[in-house]
Amino acid sequence: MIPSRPATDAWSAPLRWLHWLVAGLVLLLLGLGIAMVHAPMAVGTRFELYQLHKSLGLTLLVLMPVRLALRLHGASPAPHGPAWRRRTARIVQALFYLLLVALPLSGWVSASASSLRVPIRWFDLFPVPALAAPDRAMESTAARVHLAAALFLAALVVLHVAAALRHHVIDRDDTLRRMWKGRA
Amino acid sequence: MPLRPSSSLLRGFLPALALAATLGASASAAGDRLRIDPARTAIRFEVPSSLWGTTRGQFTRFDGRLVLDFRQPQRSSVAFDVEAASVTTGSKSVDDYIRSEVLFDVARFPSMRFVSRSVEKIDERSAWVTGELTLRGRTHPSRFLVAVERRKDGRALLSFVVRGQVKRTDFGMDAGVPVVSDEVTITVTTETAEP
Repeated sequence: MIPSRPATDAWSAPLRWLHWLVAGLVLLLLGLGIAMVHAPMAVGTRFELYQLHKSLGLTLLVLMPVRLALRLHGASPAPHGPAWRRRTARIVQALFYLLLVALPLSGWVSASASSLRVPIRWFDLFPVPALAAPDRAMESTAARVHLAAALFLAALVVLHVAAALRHHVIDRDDTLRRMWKGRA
Repeated sequence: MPLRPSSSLLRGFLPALALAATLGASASAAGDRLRIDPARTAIRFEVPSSLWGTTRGQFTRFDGRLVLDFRQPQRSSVAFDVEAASVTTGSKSVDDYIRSEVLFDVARFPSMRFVSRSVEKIDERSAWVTGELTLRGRTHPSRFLVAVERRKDGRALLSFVVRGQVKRTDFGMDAGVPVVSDEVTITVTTETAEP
């Protein structure tokens, strides 16, 4: 669980930027993930969407340790509300950090272990090494972990957005504003 | 896929052979050497996948030589050099994947080659051509069924449909097997003026 540091009532600009950047990435990755697996499309288009999904996922994997380091080293505003909601907020935040590392990692392992051995290239700019040799059991385990984590993440996003809206609309506190604008 | 010549090909080649026989006297003992005309030639392949259907593509840069000897078909021969990087499926990303080190590895093995070793006449319209196929630096025997049709579109033409199956694992291309079939069907269509 991530400790709160009540020394401040504002999020630092880098953490706010990272929050919205990661939020955008997550929505894009979830949408892409569903589309590339389920939507009917040309083989070439599907291939390109998978490659884009990998590039975006690897970007997320690079951003998350930076975000975590900033979060752990700087001061963070405490959640509002009664104790049980503050505790829930911290658990949800910790789960986000966990899932946002586990998802790209499991995706990377799954893509690496695939028998297709499609070379991973970050936005077609440079090669990214495979984490494993082709292995059907490993691929299918990693893919199952990836799917389960994605579904869990999607549920958490819904919960997170609902809570933020509740703070903003019902509680009328600065929870959403301070993430959007910094100091309320 | 059954390698059987179609009935239209069966009908077409008989007169072609008759004509070739009458012209035979003027042909050289080694048969007629012909350069494959790229504009009238297509080298296609198809590879089925259990996940996304059949991928079809072709090679756009190649050089082929053909020796035709209708009096002694076994003296006929064919050789093809194909530029591996000229593979195209209509999708740049799929093409790049096929060119990558896990499949064609075009950086190390820029060309593919087929050289016939024997031509075995089946009937008047078809023959087996056996030879050596070299891909990714590995050479493996392979056999193609050639169907010949004589056409008369203003001038006398011989058209060829060459068909065969290649196991890509024979050449170290195991990426995707078995989700993507090991067996790749290769079809070459070409035509030439009658010698």
